[in-house]
Amino acid sequence: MQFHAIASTGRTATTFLARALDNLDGIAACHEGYRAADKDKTPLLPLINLENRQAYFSAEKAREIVAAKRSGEVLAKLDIEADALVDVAYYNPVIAMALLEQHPDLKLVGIIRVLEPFVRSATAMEGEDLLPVGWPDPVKPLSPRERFIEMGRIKPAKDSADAQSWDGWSAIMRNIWLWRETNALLLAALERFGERVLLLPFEELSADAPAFLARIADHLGLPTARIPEALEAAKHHHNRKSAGYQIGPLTEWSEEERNFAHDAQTRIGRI
Amino acid sequence: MAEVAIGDLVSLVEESLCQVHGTDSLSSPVTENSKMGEPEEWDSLSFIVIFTAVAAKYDVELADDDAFHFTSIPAMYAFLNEIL
Repeated sequence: MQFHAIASTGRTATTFLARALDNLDGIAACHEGYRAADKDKTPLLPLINLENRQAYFSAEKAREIVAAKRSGEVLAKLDIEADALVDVAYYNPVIAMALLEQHPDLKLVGIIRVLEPFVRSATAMEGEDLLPVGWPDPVKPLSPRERFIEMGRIKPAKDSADAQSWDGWSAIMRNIWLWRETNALLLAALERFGERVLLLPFEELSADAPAFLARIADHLGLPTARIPEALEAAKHHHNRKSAGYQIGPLTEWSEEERNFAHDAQTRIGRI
Repeated sequence: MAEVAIGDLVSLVEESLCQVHGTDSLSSPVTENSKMGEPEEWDSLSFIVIFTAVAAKYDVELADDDAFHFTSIPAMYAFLNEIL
């Protein structure tokens, strides 16, 4: 069975993609370990949550996590009949290098969203965030679930320059940092592993979903027949994130936030 | 010499799970090898309660970066005996 991974910052329709891929013939697709993103069922893959931050801090830890939770032995024991298994997850950027090292046939797709809509979508200022991808307003009360997820979310390593600034950063600044670091990991994987890594702009999904899924399938060597049907079936799912942003557009951000965003965008570039 | 007894940790986790879920009986017993999801009541909500309860019982200041040690009894036990 082939094993592949799709990685992103989150807020890139990964639940939808996992469901659509799972509808393709011979493909088992997971969203963060759960087959077809069905979180009411027992996860197919061992979960990775709190280890996400540890993997960001240490490449050695990332290798240990992949060896323990995504090894060939772990995959061989899965009770599935499929030609290929794909895991779509926010944690894949931090373990991308280790996945590519330990699985010589694995291919990776990284999905990169434009900075401004990502930050606006990921930033919660009030109320419970049911899909807490990003850093919330530092003074926002957190539910136990939000708190748990926060403990695994990447943040600057203690001895880094960014760590010195972290406490003074707004939620917007923290999520710009999250966007920058996550996408830097994807670019580093592309630089090292070349053709085994495909980076796609998230915006292409909304422009032409069948073409977007076909590019993923082509890269991963998956069957491209029945893509329209697979997408149609996946549309019946709606995630729990409420529509609408809780922060304004970039033009309304502070000068410091706009400068930080500009710097992050410059570092990552446009794909 | 270890300062934390594994039996005390098992009891603390079991009490925390029962408290969070308002029950006297868990779906399966907490043992020296239990981990998140086993018993099933050990979920993300319970995790925070256990994390807080351990910090209080052993009077340790835990950082979020320590959280990944608290996903199983063996990992918790090893970590606490390393720092205490």
